[in-house]
Amino acid sequence: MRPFAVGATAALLSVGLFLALWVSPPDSYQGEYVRILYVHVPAALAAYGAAAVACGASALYLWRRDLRWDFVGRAGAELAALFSGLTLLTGMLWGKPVWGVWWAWDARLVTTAVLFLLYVGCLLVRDLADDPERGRRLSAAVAVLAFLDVPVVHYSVVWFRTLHQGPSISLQGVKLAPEFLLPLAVNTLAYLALLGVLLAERARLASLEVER
Amino acid sequence: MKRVRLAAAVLVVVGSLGYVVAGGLREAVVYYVTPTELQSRPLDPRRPVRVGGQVVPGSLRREGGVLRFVLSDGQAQVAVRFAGSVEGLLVEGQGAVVEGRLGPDGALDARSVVVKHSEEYTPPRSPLPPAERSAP
Amino acid sequence: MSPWAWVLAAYGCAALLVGGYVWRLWCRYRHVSRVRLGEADG
Repeated sequence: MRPFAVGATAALLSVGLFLALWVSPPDSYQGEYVRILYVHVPAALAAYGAAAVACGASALYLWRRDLRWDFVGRAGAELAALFSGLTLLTGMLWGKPVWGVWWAWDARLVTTAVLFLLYVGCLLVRDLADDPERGRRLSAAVAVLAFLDVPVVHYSVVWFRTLHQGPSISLQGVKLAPEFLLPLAVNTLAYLALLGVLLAERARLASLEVER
Repeated sequence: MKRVRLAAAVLVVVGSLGYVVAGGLREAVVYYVTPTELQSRPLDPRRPVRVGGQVVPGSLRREGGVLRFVLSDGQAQVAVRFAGSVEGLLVEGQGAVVEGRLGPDGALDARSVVVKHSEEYTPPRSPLPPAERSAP
Repeated sequence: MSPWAWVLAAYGCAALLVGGYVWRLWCRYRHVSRVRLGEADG
């Protein structure tokens, strides 16, 4: 099961990279910069997924006090920080050439930065308490609350007037030509598979370290 | 010692969280006003405003180092003057967010021009994408 | 800077961050399994 999952993820990531850098045409307005979309959007969706896993596992840990839920919750929080950090970095590398600025104080950017900082805080708080169990509970509580920011991040472009563009894919329709949709879909799938593999491996490592 | 370092790290995270939230509350709730809103409300000319809209096709031109264009939201329009160079991909028919002060003639003297990208993505029909020939 | 430089910088960031995370996991795995093997030998 493990070699298959790792192999399938590696294959998906390679196909995604090929579609993103070779097959996708440039955009009629932003040119080659559209290729940054294929890391930025999948990374953001992976961050949402990791945050959801961290929230669910942390809630189960607070309820059941089973250490295995803590391992999964910690893996989720680490990956939420990793992928939201990647979302911010790739967003800045797109914003500088296209918008003309690295950063803007708009609702989408601010709420995403808050998401990243919440998960960094969630990981730090774990080691702050003298009693490891208290640290785990504190961290789990932060992970549950931090998830509340995910819908705010996602709908910030609808609820507020932002510099960041609105959703290209929504119930109102798809504003993305099919040439861009396929690489985006494959890369999103690849990043979600990567998230799954990393979650499983990180949680397994945590259980091995406790057994030791 | 480890606890002091950790507490410092938590403090940095909480501090940046506060900084980001404060910055967001100050600016993000209404990131820009539309030309209609700009004209319907009396404005202190000394205070800078941020106005967003579409760059009206045919209005973008550079005269002696000054970039001029007209921003529109479909109803009202506002003329923009900008003495600097735009770093983003400013194209007619696309969005822009301009920060500056309203001059006595009703035109906006821009301090910064940031490009706003639309959520639409289309492959180029002409061999050269507009991004390559956008610089006016 | 050419558009491709920005694109490659973004992909480089992704490779660095994800690669760094995988590398850290790998090192800790090896550490844990070495300790466990050591216990088994002793």
